[in-house]
Amino acid sequence: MSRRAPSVNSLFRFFALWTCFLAALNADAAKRAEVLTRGYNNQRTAANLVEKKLKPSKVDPKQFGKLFMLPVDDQIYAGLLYAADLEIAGHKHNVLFVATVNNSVYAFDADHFGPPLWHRNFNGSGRPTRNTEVGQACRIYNDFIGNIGIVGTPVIGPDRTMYFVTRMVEGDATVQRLRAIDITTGADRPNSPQIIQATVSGTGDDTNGSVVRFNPLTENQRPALALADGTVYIGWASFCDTRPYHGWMISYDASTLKQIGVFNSSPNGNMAGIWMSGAGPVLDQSGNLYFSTGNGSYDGTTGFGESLVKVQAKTLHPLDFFTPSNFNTLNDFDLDFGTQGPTMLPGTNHLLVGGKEGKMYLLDAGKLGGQSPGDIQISQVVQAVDPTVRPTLTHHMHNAIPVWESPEGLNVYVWGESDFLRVYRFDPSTHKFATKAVATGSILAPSGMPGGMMTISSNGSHSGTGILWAALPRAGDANQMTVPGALYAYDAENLKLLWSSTAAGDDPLNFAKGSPPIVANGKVYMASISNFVSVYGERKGAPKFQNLALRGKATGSRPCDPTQTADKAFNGSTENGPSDKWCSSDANPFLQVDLGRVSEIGRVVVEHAGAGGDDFNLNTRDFNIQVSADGQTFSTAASVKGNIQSITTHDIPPTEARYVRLTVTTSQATQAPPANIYELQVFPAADLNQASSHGGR
Amino acid sequence: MHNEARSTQRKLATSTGEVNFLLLLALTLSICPFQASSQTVEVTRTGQVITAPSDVAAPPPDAEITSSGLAMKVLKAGIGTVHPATNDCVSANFVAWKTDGSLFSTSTSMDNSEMLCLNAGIIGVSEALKEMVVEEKRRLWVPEDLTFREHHHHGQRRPEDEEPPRGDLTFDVELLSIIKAPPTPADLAQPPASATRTSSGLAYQVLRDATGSVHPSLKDKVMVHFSCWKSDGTLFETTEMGNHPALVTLATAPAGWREAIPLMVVGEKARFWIPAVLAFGDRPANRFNPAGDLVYDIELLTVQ
Repeated sequence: MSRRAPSVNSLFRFFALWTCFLAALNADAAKRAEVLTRGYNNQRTAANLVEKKLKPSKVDPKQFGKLFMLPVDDQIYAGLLYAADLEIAGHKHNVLFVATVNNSVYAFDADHFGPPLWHRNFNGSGRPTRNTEVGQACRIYNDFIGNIGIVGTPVIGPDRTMYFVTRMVEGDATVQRLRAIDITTGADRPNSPQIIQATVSGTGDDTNGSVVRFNPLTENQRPALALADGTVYIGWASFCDTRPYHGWMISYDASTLKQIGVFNSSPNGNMAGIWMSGAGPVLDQSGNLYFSTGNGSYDGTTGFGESLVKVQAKTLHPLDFFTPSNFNTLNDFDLDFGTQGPTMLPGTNHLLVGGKEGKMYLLDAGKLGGQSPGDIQISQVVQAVDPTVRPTLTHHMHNAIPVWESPEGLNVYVWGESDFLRVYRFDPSTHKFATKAVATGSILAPSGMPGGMMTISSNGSHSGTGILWAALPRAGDANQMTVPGALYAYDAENLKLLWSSTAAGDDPLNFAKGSPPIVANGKVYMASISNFVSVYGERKGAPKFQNLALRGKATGSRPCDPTQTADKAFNGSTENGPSDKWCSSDANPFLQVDLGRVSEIGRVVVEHAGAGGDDFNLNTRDFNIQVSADGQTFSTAASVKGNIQSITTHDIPPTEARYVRLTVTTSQATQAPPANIYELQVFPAADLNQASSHGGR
Repeated sequence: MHNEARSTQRKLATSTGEVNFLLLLALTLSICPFQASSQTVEVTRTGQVITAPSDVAAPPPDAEITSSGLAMKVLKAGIGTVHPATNDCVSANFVAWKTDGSLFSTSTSMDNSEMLCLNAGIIGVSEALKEMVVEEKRRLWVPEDLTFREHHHHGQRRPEDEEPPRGDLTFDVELLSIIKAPPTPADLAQPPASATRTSSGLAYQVLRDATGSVHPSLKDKVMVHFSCWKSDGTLFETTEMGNHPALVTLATAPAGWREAIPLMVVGEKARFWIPAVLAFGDRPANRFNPAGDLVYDIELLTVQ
């Protein structure tokens, strides 16, 4: 039987079909979510609109929960980033990027638990700044606890380059560097790094009489970096308003890393920091930047404290500004305007931004309006956080306002301090918001800072797809200490509560106040200040148990009451309150777990009284963590004195151990009994192994 | 001169058609304060003029002076007889000047969106508001010690840190509306003899009966309306003013709540005297939580 040669027509048809197939594949890839900058885009909408898997009907305690945790080397303040279909070492991965305050950057497979694809630490011969070395206006600066390295959220460019700023102490000097690395390897790009240096003319703080110089010690690189048209933008503020400092915005060429423009918000005065709780500046279609400033000098000419500032692309020449008419009051009451970064409302030329008064300001990006009594030059001001719920407390708004074009209209979401989550709707006919919330959540935030850190996932504007994800302290004030965190999922159309992380096994540990959750391709990623990223998604089987102590054989000192036995500290749960903890009033009590077999362990996490809702004053003050291979001879792996935190993470040298024991030397801050432990978790050293760790300046 | 100034303001109001006094002053950036006759005016970049009250520097003889040192004078009578109380919140407009006539601060004038809760406001302004009724407008001469509270959330300022500008301030305040707080219980200091006491120190009294028989357990979540007062009468928190209840997980609620709520049935409203040890203690680790004994009014709406 002879075979006929394929006709030109059939070849053409095959080629056309193949092309269509490839195009469909590419289209599918193009629709995969990526998070290459804070808030998903330069409008900072904080909305992933291509999420197909996660929808309200799929997010409930039966179907959704924590899948695994990714350990890192320190606390996480920077926002998480995510790239889809990235080829690393010959394999494609969806990749999660994590930056820590130890000046480390990690690349993890975002879908599967495992060691990092690569990890790089940039400390070189230096070390990160410590919180005790900055912020003396607070005496000790407890807005951070420990290291202060990478803080601002990095940004990833179209050529797969990541930009970020490291902060190190080298000898006696603090040095900040702009870095550019290849996200497939972690290797430096050409011209990286560059030391941050800048000057402007001025007579304000840190001047020599005519020139103000960038002060790497007092400047805190807090806001997210931004990138557009081959230019990287970086902003700075302070630690606890400790002077001398100014708000700085500096632009760099993304290829050469050469400085292009410098803006100083108070060259003839002081302060006016650009921090925005870590949010990023908005960029418009012309590349112009919009960002807000905090307490500081204002004159509307060169001083732009308490303002929303618009500067020109690349050069950073000031173009326009808005300053609330009560800026003096804001300065005097420490009611910074600049606690939020702006959000550009989709399909409009409007910017929305809030501050410490709990008001959101609707501004015309084309005409910000300067400063005018009564604020009547701007589009609208809405008291978005209800001060009546806790009338004597603060009502700040932090990070940025997420926005979603819902089936019913354009929604914005506000979860201010000490208030409920609220959604406000934009009326396109009046170009204003209804001043009354169209829906209100049921959870009242705990007293204190910072309110909810939020993101949205949806499949476009389709009904039944929108979810508002919010990270929130589950107790306590996150301003001057670390506090336990919680993740909530709400139906974004009506704020019906769908799911919360309070169930056993879903605990995200300490709240990462600078890092809102992100959503990408069916998973939710939540950073913590306990040196982990928790990954949540649809549960198709048993979750991965990384905690070697979970349901291990427990022993301990005599319990306070019959329900508060040692096994409660190893049941994976803090949700049931005082009956869900080990408590002992014995002198120098101990708590011990048998892991069942000898394992090489590397990390212990202890959840103290405050993790379960008790007063933080009851947190264990002084304690030792001891390990043993045989249950007879114990060695001390970690010794802690003066703890005030509710959840503590202890990295220990890799140790072969079967038994882990916590011995309490001082039970509480008051030095009175009892000792209270809600959970004690033990993690294998292998989980902490770093794939590669080439350091360097 | 005083009458002339007010006459000028009325003319401006007529010409612009605006009803709000603040709008009369809605000019752009003020950059150049100077003395014109006995009045201080500020010329904006656009050449417009803001005129400070002629009596901005000191109260006139007919001003009322209170025992705190606050001076005030009614500029426009209001309606009704209801005054804001200490725990209330209000919607109000204000303009504030330094005594040299330079503009210090103004409220946001749109949508009645300037909300002030008297317990958190400028001391002298809160004192004056308690004397006012809706739609009333007063001029206040606020001494320095009644202006800004010594407060900075970061902690104590260092001597070299910039101090906020100090000095007396003169306000024009217009009360637009009052958001009434729930009535403060008369027996905050201690429960009445008729209250039921438990062995823990908790005391309670049913304010409104309900007929249900199912009590929440510590594994439940409950939807509740509640209000909380400190023993000095300060309202700490309430869901009543915003008329939006809260969902509370009982297991992780303060000890007083864990004991109190299971005593209730759905539909019931009760008052609980919760000693500090069952609330946030005498020295709460969270500085935002109230110290000492607390009184809660709680209405149990649903159990989940």
